[in-house]
Amino acid sequence: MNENRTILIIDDSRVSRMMVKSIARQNYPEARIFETANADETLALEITCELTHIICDYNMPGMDGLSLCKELQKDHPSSYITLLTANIQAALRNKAQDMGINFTKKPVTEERILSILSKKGRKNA
Amino acid sequence: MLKLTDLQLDMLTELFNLGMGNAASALSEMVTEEVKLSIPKILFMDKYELTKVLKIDSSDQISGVSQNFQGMILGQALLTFPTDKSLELIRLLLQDSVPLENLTEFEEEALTEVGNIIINAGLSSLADIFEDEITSDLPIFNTGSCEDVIGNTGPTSQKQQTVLHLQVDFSIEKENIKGYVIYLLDLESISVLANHIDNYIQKISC
Repeated sequence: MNENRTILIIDDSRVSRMMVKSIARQNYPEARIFETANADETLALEITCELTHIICDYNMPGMDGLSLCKELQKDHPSSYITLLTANIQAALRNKAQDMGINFTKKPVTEERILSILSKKGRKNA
Repeated sequence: MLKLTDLQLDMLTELFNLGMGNAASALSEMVTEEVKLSIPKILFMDKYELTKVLKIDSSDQISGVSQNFQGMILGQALLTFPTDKSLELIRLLLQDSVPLENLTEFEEEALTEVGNIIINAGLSSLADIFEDEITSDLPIFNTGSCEDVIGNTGPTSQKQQTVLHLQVDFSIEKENIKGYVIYLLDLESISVLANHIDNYIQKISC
């Protein structure tokens, strides 16, 4: 697991961000990790490097996670984008999949995060 | 007053059982312990009667995470547990992610996320069965007496209204942590839900 990862974690729950970050750090010590708590913070963030992975919550204050992912796809076309959410309804899962976004249910577990980080490139690309 | 038929109640209990099974599975994954569930209880009552049914001593402090939801049905969901057990719960949840001495700093946020995951697991099952959608607001953390926490759930105007109360008691036996997951629906939503149930029964009867 030595390949570099550049990961953006977006979640209004600090605890959730910490759990994802902790798993990523333990398994990819060299990874560069950015984190934000909502869409406004994310869109204001100036990231000049290529993100390999974007892991985004759905239910957040302001713009929802799926709309944010749609925005992020424009600037990061080669990133593997995941909607990581407690809202595990088929309707939402289908919308994400139609957009080429990976859908992973919460809670955060090591197995789920490692599965995300083992993937590369845009889903369905 | 709207009443559900025995068949509708049976179906609702079964659906709720399924939803809570998913919720228990999510909680079990979070704390890596077995989570036991009671048989769902379905009752019509107002919120103040509800505090009596829960049989929590009024002097006991409880913590709760509430979330309003809307879409095919409108209501409030609440996850509660005794405040003195909340640190135990987040210790299980966070494990090595946070040093033990910093645990209290994350208490509210960790419990809010637990509530968010459990409440949504239940709602998602319901929406999927009826091939519809339910959206939820952001979770809100409350702590205080049973009356305070339950009374603060949902709009003030609905406090005295009769609601459908769906409740499951959960326990993490090894850690002696017990709590409740409660969904409150107003009468209009009960009527909508009854229609959905009838349509579903008709579909599976064909």
